[in-house]
Amino acid sequence: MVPASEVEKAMSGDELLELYRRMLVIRKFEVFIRDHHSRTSTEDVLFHGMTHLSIGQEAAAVGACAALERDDYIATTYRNHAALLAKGADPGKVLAEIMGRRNGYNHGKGGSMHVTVPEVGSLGSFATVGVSAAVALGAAFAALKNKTKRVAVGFFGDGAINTGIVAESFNMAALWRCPVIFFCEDNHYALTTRTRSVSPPQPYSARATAHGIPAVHVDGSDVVEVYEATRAAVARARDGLGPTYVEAKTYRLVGHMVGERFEDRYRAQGELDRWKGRDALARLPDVLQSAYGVTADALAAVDRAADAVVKQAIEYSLSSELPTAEEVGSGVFAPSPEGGPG
Amino acid sequence: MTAINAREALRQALYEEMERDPSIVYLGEDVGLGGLLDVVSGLAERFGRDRIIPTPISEAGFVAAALGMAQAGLRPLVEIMWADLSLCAADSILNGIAKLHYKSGGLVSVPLVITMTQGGGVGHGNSQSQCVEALFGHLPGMKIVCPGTVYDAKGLLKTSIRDPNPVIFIQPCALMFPWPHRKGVPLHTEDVPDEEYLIPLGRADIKRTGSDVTLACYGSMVRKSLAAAQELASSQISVEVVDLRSLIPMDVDTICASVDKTRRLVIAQEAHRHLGFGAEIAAIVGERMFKRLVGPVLRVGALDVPIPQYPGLEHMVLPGVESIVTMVKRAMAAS
Repeated sequence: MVPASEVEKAMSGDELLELYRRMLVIRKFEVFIRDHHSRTSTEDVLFHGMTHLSIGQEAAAVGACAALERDDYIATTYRNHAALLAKGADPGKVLAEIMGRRNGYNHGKGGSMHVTVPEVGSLGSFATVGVSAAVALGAAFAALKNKTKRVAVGFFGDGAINTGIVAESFNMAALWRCPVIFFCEDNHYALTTRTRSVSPPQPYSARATAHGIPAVHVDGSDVVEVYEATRAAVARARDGLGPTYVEAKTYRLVGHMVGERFEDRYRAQGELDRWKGRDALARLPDVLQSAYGVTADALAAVDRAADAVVKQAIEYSLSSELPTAEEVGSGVFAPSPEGGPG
Repeated sequence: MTAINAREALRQALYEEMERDPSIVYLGEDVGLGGLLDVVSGLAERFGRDRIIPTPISEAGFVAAALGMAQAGLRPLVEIMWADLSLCAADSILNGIAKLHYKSGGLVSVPLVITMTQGGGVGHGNSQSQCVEALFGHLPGMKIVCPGTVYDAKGLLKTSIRDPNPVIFIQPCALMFPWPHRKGVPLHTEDVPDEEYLIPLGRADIKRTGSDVTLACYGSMVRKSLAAAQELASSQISVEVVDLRSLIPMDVDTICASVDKTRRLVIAQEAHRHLGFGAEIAAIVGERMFKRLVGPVLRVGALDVPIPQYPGLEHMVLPGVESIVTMVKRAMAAS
């Protein structure tokens, strides 16, 4: 955490409380998914199949998205719930989508890994990691060309830093000075492999700086620090100064995916506990009280408000039916004015 | 009417569309001097370097970037120099672009065109001579257009650009290069209307009417099929040449109506015979027309080996006019 004196310059207590509320909603939202999920059964479970949670990483998503306007763009990976909610997506429609319901944003056709919310600037969630960097770069290119002043954030993890498409994106973003922020959520693992163990010793950010892209490292558990760094990157982008690489050191306190079989076998001894100690949601209430004078009552009210949001999202999702066979079997193409047999 | 070649026809289509719609941008490798086949020659001078954009050699990246552009107010045309190189961008195309309309529940449309020159006959060897339509057609989500004539190339490209869906626009080598590929052979030209025209996607065109055999073909095999039909006419075999023009969506009704008349079907593709569109058409016609057929549906295609570079060997592997003539005669003999 940055010293309280600097924090106070960054935002007011009310503003930080609001970021805390957003993080809390995401945490409760994803805990609900985790607790009602089964990988092996479709009977009597609400969530099924490959599902990736950001529990422990909320501060990175919330801090980054707090620096964006609603019509700025984001592109995400399969670990997308946190960023989409942080960007302002409706929790009920996201949850219904993850449940495969008709009232989900994508009528249940996307599912957990592919939630797409254009109304908050989401360009899609991509299960092949690294693609999000290139898609964001393209939207940023368009924003630059059309002089809209919008920026795009490509979210990806440390695992994706080793993909070719991220390297290609760095090159083109620098070449064309695109208003894009490459936001690397470094949770230290590519699935269950320590990314460091499959990478050279140089910092990941060296890949960005090698292309002339400035790099910033932040504590991904510190929502204020993430926000400040992203805000500076956004300002650079809007000023026509091109891309920035922001790397947030963070940690997922759960498995790579829900129901992961190896959860206890790849983390270093004591690592999980150490990061639980850094968990922003565990620390922020103290910070809010001691440095901002937020009362215990106010914190409790925020907790209740977050509960209410998630409860409403659950009720909305459960009230939605499954899409019909006809709906599922159509919609590969948008209707063409020219028509023709399909 | 003016006689032009396919390169000029595509350039005209681009010029007209970019003039009409300022959101169109064209990007690709080595397009700075007009591109490998001169398709964008002179367009940068007219539309500027921010609309004719040379890219680094980064197929996966710039194709995925086009997906972002298409969602942010541009209509990108992406040139992939050789179709074989599209495999570098296969993930961006098939997992990224192709699925977005469906997986977003229809919230997102992806208006972009990926052009690529494909096929053999010009000595480019095993990794720059292949046909990729079946690779990209198998997984749902991409429209696939493959003209066989200059006239169709222009009209289909204009329609592809205006389509709200992602389109793979295949430019056959046999149309883009002199064919046969010999010294002194000029590029094929056709009379093309001076006024604007569009050709809808998903509509086949009967290029020659006939009564004995339906010859379904597309791309580089269209002109070869017409030459074969001409030759077969002297053997009193009347061939109906159905040019599919677009493979996805495919005009199955026109194929079936023709087969209903001729009761025989041969499919000609430059692509390898196995697991191709020919197999798909044979299956569809088998399902819908089994009792009307008087003989087996036969396929013409490349041998199922990598395409050799040496012209003599390449000629043995790729289907030509003689392969089509032989297969049509076999279809006649088998019934």
